[in-house]
Amino acid sequence: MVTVFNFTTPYSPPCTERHAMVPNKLVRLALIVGVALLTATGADAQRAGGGRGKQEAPAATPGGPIYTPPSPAMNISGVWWTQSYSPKIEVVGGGDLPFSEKGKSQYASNMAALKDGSLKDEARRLCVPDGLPRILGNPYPFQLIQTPGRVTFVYELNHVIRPVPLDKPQQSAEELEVAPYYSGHSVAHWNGETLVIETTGFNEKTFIDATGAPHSDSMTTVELVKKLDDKTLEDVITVTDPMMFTKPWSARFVYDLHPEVRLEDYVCGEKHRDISMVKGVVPK
Amino acid sequence: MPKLALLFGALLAAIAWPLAAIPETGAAPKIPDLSGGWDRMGTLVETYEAIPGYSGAGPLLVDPRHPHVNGSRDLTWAPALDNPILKAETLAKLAPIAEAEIKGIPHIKDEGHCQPSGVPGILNVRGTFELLQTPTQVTIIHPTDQQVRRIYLDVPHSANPGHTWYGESIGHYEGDDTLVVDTIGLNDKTQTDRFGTPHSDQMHVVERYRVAGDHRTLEVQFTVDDPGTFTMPWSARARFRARPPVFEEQVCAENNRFVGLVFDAGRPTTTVYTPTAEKPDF
Repeated sequence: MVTVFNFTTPYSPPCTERHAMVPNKLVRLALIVGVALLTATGADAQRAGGGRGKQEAPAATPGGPIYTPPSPAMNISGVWWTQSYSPKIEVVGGGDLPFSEKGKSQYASNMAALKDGSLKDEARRLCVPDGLPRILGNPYPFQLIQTPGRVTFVYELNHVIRPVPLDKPQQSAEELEVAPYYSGHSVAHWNGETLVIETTGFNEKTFIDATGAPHSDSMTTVELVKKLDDKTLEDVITVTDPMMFTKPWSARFVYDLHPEVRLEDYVCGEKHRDISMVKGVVPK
Repeated sequence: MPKLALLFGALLAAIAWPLAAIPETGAAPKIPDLSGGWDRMGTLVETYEAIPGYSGAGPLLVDPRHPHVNGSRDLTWAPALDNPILKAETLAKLAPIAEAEIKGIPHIKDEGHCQPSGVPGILNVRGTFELLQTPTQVTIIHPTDQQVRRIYLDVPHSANPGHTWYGESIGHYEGDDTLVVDTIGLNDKTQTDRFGTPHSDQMHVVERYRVAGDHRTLEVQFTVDDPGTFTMPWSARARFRARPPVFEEQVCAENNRFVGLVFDAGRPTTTVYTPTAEKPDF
């Protein structure tokens, strides 16, 4: 059951949510100042070294390239694999997606078009990224890689890479509009031992799930990622998209750690690893 | 006087000793910092360079009679075919590709087909890549069609690595500036270089990623050993400059930037294939 998710504040826009968390904000501010000082020192050293180019040559990572988790719970690195797969997304609390009138008609039209073939599920046919939240429930393993200032999701399915910078401001509204991504643009911060990932700047080429549930390009998501124990990880995503839904809704994904698994290369149309043992998967 | 000098010396040593010892404490040797973004540099960013001062066998280079000039209309990728590394059968496959290039019929590179560029081909791919370092693994992520390579540190090769697009890469650090990567288990579907030289699935590649002390440049020297394709092992290099790691989502299958006239399977064609699943996996 979902006990970790605070439904009283399912979603607020990225900036206001950050400002609401005062203690965390202070820690983050201290971190930013610290990093800025270190960066400035590095830049001075480069100038002193007589570097010719004025271009942005990034210094080495202060403190080295390896991330050291402050606590075992904040070590979310590893190969994770979903406990189950569902073609239709399962909403936390049960029931159907709270479609708006526009969402309802778009969903009906998507389902009909997928059935008669006039609309293709390109994530399966051409292996373009599944986007959020669909990729969170995919039946292939994925790897989380923690490096200083970053968490990177590397999915086996469609070799999707999702870089999530920590403690960085979101890109400008203009940039998000100019370059919307399948996986959106994510930023994250730690709130205690929960990684909070805020994502916006999606394109509208992906579905919410394999049944063709729609979202618009104004969708925003907040994920709360936390370890339930040493070998289990949870990602609860709250989706807000006033164009398609009457209210924010959440879905929960649970993954097991698989240190014995190495991700494989994935090229569309080739034979891939066996996923028939994943609960809910019906091989086609 | 000598006594005083001795005392002074001992005092200096006493002060200096802990200072000198500081970097050494903490047991583990310093891990080379390969973080940040890396972007190809050199005259021709899509092809390998000969290693200066190295007298052994080197890579195929552009035929000086048919130069490839970045930014000009002259974009032929024709190699000098007199390189002794080419076995007769390899030359027989490569010559028609080179002839077509000279006639203005380009062959398409692996990433032009939205397929992985393999090893060492990925070193020639345009775009800023990153090396993500963890204690047990180095992951190379490349924005160009989201290519990923995984290098497992301090472990032996598998008994049966199979044959895959990037093969099986194991690695270890040497000194405080170098990552050594040993790759086997490649498939034979990728091009060895920008000229379209084929290779076999027996190819063995050893790469040495060496970062400069000021972290401004990264040089990869590598050796290719593939008796099925080449008469001898040969070595080359690719150089990169540090760039901010701004990650761009590029999805080739929906936005192939390389579509054009293609030379494929020995025949001129205009067909570019994009990997497609006739039937979904699930």
